[in-house]
Amino acid sequence: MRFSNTLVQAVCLVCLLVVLPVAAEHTSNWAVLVSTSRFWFNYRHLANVLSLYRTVKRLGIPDSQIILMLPDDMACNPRNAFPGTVYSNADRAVDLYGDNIEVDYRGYEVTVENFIRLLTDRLDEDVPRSKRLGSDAGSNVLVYMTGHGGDRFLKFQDSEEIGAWDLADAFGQMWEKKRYNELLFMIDTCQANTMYTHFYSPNIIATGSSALDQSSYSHHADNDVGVAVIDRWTYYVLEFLENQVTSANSKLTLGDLFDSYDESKIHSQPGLRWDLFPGGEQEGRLRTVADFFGNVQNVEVEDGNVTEPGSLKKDLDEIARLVEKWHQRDQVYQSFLDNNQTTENQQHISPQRTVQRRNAGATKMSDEKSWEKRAIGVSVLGACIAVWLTGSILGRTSA
Amino acid sequence: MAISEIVQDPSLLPILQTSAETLAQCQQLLALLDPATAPGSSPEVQEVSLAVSRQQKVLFALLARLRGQNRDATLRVRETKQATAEARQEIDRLHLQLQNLYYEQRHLNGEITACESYDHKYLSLPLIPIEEFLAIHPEHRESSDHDLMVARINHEHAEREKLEQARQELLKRKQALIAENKKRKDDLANLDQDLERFIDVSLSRDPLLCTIANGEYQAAKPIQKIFEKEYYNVPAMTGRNGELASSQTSSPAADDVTTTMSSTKASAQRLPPPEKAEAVRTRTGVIAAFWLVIILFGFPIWWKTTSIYRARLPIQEMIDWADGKRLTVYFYVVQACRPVFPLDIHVETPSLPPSEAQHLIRTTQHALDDLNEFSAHHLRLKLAEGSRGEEPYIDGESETGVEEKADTTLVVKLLPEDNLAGPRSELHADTSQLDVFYPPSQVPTFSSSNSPLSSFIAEELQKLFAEEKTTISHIISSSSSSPSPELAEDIGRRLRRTLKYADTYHLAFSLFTPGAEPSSWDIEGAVQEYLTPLLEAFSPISNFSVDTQVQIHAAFAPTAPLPTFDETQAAWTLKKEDLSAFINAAEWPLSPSIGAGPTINFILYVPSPSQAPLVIQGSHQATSWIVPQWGGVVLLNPPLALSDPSPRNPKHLSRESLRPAFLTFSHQLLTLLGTPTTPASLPFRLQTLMRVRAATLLLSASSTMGSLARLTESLPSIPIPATVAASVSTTLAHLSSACSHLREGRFAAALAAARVAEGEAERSFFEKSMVGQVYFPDEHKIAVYLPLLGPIGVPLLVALIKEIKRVVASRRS
Repeated sequence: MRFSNTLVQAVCLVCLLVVLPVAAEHTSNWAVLVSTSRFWFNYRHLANVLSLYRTVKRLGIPDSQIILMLPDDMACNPRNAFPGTVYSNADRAVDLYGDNIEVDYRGYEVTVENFIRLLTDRLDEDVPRSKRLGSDAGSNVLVYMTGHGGDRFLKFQDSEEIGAWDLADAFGQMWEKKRYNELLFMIDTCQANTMYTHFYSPNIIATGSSALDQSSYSHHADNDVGVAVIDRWTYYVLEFLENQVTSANSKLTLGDLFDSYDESKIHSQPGLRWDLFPGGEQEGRLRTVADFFGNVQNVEVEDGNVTEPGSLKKDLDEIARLVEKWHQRDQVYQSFLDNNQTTENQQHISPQRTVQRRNAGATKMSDEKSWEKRAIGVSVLGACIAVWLTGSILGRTSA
Repeated sequence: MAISEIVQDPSLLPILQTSAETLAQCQQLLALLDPATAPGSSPEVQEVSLAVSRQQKVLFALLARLRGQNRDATLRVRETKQATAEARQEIDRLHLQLQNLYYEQRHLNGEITACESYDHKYLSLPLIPIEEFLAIHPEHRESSDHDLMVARINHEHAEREKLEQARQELLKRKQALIAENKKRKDDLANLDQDLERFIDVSLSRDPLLCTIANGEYQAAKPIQKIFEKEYYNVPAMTGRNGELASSQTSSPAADDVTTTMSSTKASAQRLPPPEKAEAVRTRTGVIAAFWLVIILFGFPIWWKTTSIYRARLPIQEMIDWADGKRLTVYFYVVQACRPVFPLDIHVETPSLPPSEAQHLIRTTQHALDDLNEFSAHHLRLKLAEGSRGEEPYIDGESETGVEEKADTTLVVKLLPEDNLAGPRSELHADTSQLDVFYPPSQVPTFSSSNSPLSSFIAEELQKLFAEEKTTISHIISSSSSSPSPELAEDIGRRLRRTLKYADTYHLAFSLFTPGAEPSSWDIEGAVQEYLTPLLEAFSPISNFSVDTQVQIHAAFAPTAPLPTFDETQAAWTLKKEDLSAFINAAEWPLSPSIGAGPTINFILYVPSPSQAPLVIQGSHQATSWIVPQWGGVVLLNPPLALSDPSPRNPKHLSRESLRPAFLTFSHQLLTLLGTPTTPASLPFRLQTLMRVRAATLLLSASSTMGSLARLTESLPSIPIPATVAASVSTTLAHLSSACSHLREGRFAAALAAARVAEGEAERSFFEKSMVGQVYFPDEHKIAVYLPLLGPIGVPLLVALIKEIKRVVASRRS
């Protein structure tokens, strides 16, 4: 009994030792960057998002793991004095649009429904993987949103809005399905800090640009472009990311990023939320910026000369043997075929090998039963006519 | 007209003169050259030619002068022109000024006339004629026109103010009169009422008197009282009436008015005719019809269109699966499902008598059980019934026999061998067979409960399954209880680089090269030759589809660190820490495949001849690496064609040259799919993978079930279609069948069931229509419904209440 007790204790100790570092590790990075407003005068929101896009791409997240939602195309707007470009600074040093940008959701595809579907992955089967958030239990996800918002809502495209409740539920579902390891939520909009008040799922760090009843302001305008080009909070976040986080190996932490907030510059009170994160603020501040903005890629070089089990050399031997055996079997099969049907040998060498290209004929896309629908329509029409007739007959007799 | 008459400018005269001289000179020359006077002899010719040349010189001099003078003249002309232009400009300017002045003058004149002819207001004032004014005010007779006008205007103003005041007073009087009139009118109306009452009372007097006469004194008494009261009122009324009459004698027409008014008043005072019973019934019917439509049609339609369909889910069962209780009510038998892995190991003992073999197995089993700490995973030794076919696993034959009996995991063959100090074992690399060679002396006797041979076999088996056991316990308890933290760490690392399980994986093979060659490869043959065996072996676990592409002129990313030349290795080297930047994710077309399931990328990179051979920095010249959860990269340095001074890559990569690369790809595929590293037999490892995958899928499907159940409970606003319920029941059924298959050791069948369960669980969780409605609080609902229903609802409700009141009142009476 005593022995088993000590054993259990030892096992628990090992568990603790092993679990803690494992829990902190993640295997992939995803970024969801959303602008929610249309039209030329909201140029700065798209510039915000594109700046973030550029930063995460610079820090190594590939396009296939960035979901970029742009509701309008500022680069090709007829009012753009610099066609084909988007700038986030009046000095126009960096063209954010560039020649290499992958917008996943554009124009009227940027809706609340699509955003929630993206997060919860409740998408049609036909939706390509580049438009899906393929994160799993080992993924760190960065969600950045910008647009026009208010107390616990964010407007999408002037026509609808997402509430803090919806967002919280979407993250809740993501957590339920283990679609993230840790999540950093950033939002730059008026009264932004109200958007994350309803979150309830763990492992989320949230930060916003302004408190309740506060506006988020734009940073500066470019007189040649004619509109404001970036928001204040985003500008200073980017300033930190661009000037100090120079590579994905940077050791700067989220604490450093959040300490760089300067209310006198931002002109609003940026908010933080730590309570959902295990270990709270203390633990959360230790996460590096690259944990969310960069990409982990621990490549494993395979050495041809190491002979431990599972190494390249051993495996190569085994695979070679497998191939060899397959060869023999093929030959046996071949001879078997030869014996059976010598004449049709050519066509039957390997039925599974030949790639058969079947051209599917045209099919009707919908499987509606048109006759049924017509019958329903006819009966409804008939009923209406009957009601009308009886009404007119009755009216005549009474009159 | 001679030219001298036209040109008279003194400066041009010298030119004319010169030109005339020149003309003369020319004629002289012409005369000299005249063929008619051509000289015959040579001295003459000489003389003539001399004369000609002299004349010519003179002519040239003249021409030169002429040219000079011409130039001068031209220059002068130019100067003159300029002077003229300047003068003209000046004139223009002056002219313009003049014009401006003229316009100004005209404008001013116009202004003056406008001012003079201005139509003053006072001129149109209707004043009294000047004679009358002078008659009133003779003192102004002497004053000027202007003063006179001012005085007249002032006078007019004073007069008008006086008149206005008078008007106001008159208006006030009018108002007072109107008020007086109104008061009188009201008195008249009151008189009418009094009169009417008087008439009513006087009319009712006769029947009342009759009843009294009939002796019904009791009943008539209160009425009599009323009558008496009315009666006494009459004198007062007549008094007032008389007063009124006297006051109105002055206006006889008013009398007619009062009489007509009294008649109309009397008719308005009367009640409407009592409703007919029929009308009341109709009204009740109409109200009832409205309410019937609302209740029978409106309400159900509203209910139907606004309610969210939520299929019933077996919530408790789903949560139980997720919590690991996994109590399944299956064929009315309540059984707890724990993922257990009883592994059957067949022992072949060709050289031992059955009884001894039985004993050996028993003791070995004991030794094994002693060694095992992880109860879910245990090995069962069985004596083989004769010899049986081997390697059924890669062939896929095991699936046919799977329904009946448990899979055999391992065959242990005991072979006696002389001159051997201790037992030794040897694992067949291409089958799942373990040969154990032992000295015959070590066979345990019946008396002994333990022997070196049995403990040796037990230890060997334990060693073989150590990794699998650790992996499974790692997965099941999501933490490690392995004795060695290094092994656990190793497994954790491997699990992290393993791709998430999917039913279908897309394998994308890409050939990238920075130059134009090689531009083709025998990919079909290579895949067929080197990859298909492995994919076939994997077929019970996952399906695969293969895409290939060739990309020539594929350059590195501009920011990527370039390879450096290493003298000692005579090769171009890539730094290990730079490898993550090797893939130009931005430009190389490595986008994920369109279909369902993740893509595993395999990149074959052929460096340009100027950078060949390319290897990874390090002592071993490795040429391949794995990118966790993504794919693998192989650097292929083909033999360069050295015919030219500049070496070139071969144009085509043959199947043979692709062999090392594709074997490496196969290895990378094994690694990425999470195949365990030990033991050294591939079929054995694949079987282990199958068990590991079954456990993973079982857990993942159960946890998805739990997530779905919790989601259903926490979000009441999301719809749950019937398909989800169907998927859930399929999942649960397959989960329990997978569990029972596991318990009985049929791992292939368990994996198949778990695959179905996982697929259905994913489908049910990610059902497209299960997106919650956007948050819609109750106050918003009121704001939507009220403008719609208010205008309709209020009249309907009021009508209903009135009707009910009426019915209740009629009941009571």
